[in-house]
Amino acid sequence: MSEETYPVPSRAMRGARSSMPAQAEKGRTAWVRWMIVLGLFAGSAAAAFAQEVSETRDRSWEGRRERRIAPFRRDAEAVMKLVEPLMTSLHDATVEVLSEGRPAALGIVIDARGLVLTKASQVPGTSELAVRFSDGRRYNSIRVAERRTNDLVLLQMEGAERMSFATVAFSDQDPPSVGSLLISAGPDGKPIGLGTVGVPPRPVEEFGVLGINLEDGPTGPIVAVVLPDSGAAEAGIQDGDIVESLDGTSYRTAEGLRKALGALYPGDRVKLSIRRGDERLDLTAELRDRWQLLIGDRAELMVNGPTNGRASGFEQAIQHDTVLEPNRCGGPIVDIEGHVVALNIARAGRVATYAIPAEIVQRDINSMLEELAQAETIATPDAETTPVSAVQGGE
Amino acid sequence: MSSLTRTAMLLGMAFLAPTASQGWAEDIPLPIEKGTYISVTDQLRDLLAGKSPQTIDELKAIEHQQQRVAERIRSCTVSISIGNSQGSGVIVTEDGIVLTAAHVAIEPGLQCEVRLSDGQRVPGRTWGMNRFVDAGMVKLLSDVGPDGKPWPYATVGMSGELSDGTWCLATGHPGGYDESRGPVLRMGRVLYRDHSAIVTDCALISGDSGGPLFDLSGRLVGVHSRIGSEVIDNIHVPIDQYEASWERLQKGDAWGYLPGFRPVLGIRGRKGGGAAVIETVTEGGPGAQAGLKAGDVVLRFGDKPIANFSELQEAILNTMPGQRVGMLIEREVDGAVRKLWLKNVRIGRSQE
Repeated sequence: MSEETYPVPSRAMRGARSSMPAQAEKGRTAWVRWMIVLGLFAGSAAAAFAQEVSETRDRSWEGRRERRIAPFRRDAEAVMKLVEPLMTSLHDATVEVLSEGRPAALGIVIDARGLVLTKASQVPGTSELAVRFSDGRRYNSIRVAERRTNDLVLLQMEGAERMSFATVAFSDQDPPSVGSLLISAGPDGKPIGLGTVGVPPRPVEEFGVLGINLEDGPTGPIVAVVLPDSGAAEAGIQDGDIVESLDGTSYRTAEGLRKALGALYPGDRVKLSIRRGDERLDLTAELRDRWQLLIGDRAELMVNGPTNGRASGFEQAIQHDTVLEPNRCGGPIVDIEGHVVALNIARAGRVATYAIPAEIVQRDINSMLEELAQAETIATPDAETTPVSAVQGGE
Repeated sequence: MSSLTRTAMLLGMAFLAPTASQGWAEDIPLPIEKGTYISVTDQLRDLLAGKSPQTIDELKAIEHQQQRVAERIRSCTVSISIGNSQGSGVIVTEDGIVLTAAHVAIEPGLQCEVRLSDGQRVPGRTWGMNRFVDAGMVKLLSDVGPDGKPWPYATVGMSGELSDGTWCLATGHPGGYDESRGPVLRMGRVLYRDHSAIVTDCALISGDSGGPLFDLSGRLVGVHSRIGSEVIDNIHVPIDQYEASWERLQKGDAWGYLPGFRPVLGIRGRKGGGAAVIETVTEGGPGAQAGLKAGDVVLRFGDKPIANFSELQEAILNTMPGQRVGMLIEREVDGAVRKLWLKNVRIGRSQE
């Protein structure tokens, strides 16, 4: 099968190129350049049109090409310079959120007492979280409220409750129409991407799957099929495994377990207790977006570039074409007037980034703040720092 | 057949008319408000020629123009399905000629299902394809839209007048037709162009093939064809290529192959003669992998009866590398002639 000779589908394509056999012809190097014809085949034949194309090109030519086209790109330096003044007001209120010390998402300060809104699935409660400002200030942070339906979470910066932060105000205008320009803000007050609205706000259904088929067995649900490249396969789940429990709850029927899994989102990690023969195993597996499993083709996955684990399941999302790294989600988007019109929620593929419209973000912020206020009235008057952890413990 | 030819000629004129009436930077408005053309203000004229926006006001003007053009180009953007393959297309005449990629139309004379931007399904038939550049043509069976009105169509521009940096808009059905979503707009700029291809940073993916690329004034300048690994490698067929081979496309001719994507089976035979006899099979080639042997006589390739080797060659050229087809062959086994059905013959690719 020729597919197996394809290079590793990673962002490190340049590296892969250099490892290709060199043609000793006047210093020219041959490498595999990916080219995909864009016809789409439904179902299992999806890979049919993905082709690699070998090209013999001078590497320095490639470098010159990059430099040559740079001024013509839609996000050329000159264009980005033009839109930079639009985000001056966001400078102090757009932050980086670190998970275990590494940049995991961008965040938006939405409350002067140090509350930061970001993309929930990028900042798991089990890891050490911190918020970092562009001037280097850094605050350890904890999750205090979450809205799973839109993958939003509020973080409280610790030791910052009595400080006063600049905040971002979301626009109360109608969402931007198709063709509108969208500029994504970075943590240093600089634009990190320019794109346009491709599809007006719509519900983006979630299709999180573990990648197993289940059957009823005498003692409980049995794994009948494990899909290759799925979260289940990666976790080591095998055909014939008996699922004794999911996150501590046991299910008597395959249908019951399917329902429980169906309520989860892509990017969620679950703990499964498995019985395999005489063995008992505890495995952790991640749910993935179903389309990623269906593609199952490396070339196609590669041209999509890195995407978020949770790239579907949003109540309402604007689809736009801004090229964004998955860990640059969670930050604000401004329109050409400088109004904050949306929050980037997921990089979903080569052509799609999703953003939650300002109105929905504001509604979720309000309800989370309300939730916090109620918790505070219950927890006070003990101490001023407890309300936050009280809420978290109470979840 | 004669009525088809007559229609085709009329359609050809309908295509040429808007092209001839429009130059770049032209002030004269179209006589009728039809098609997708929306004239640009003086401010945007330089941007059409590739200049970078210099002020935030120019960017605002781009946005305003984009929003207006986006509304118009939506209605002429279609999805095309043939069998289990799916791509996009764009209606370019009021009686329903659709431009698409050659690899979406596959081969002449096929029935296809076309979905309009509002989700309605209408039947179509594939016409010709110039595979050298991946240009294909489809005709909607009805010469008028479902409501008896002319089909919504795109105003055709001239790709020869594009510049590096020209601001453009792309639509299509990425990932296939999605009822809850419809066509998806993307924007970008021309990064490179020659007579056979335009490269832009309008991000494309599978399912977009055959979809339209417009300039800021809503004129069709290209049709999506293929992508490279980088998100800035999106390749479109220049619209001038369609005009250059318009008559052959209308007649239902298919010719050439896309460089780098030439379909091969790795078999040889003699042209002419009464049967498609395989004389040699390349070791390790796609034919050998599928189990073909020297001496086999090919009777059917996919759903086509094969009478001689030339017909077989043509049938192979009508496929794409990676496609799987069935083949009916005749082979002598232990002195007896038997018919064998090879189910999954995977077409290979020549680097040419």
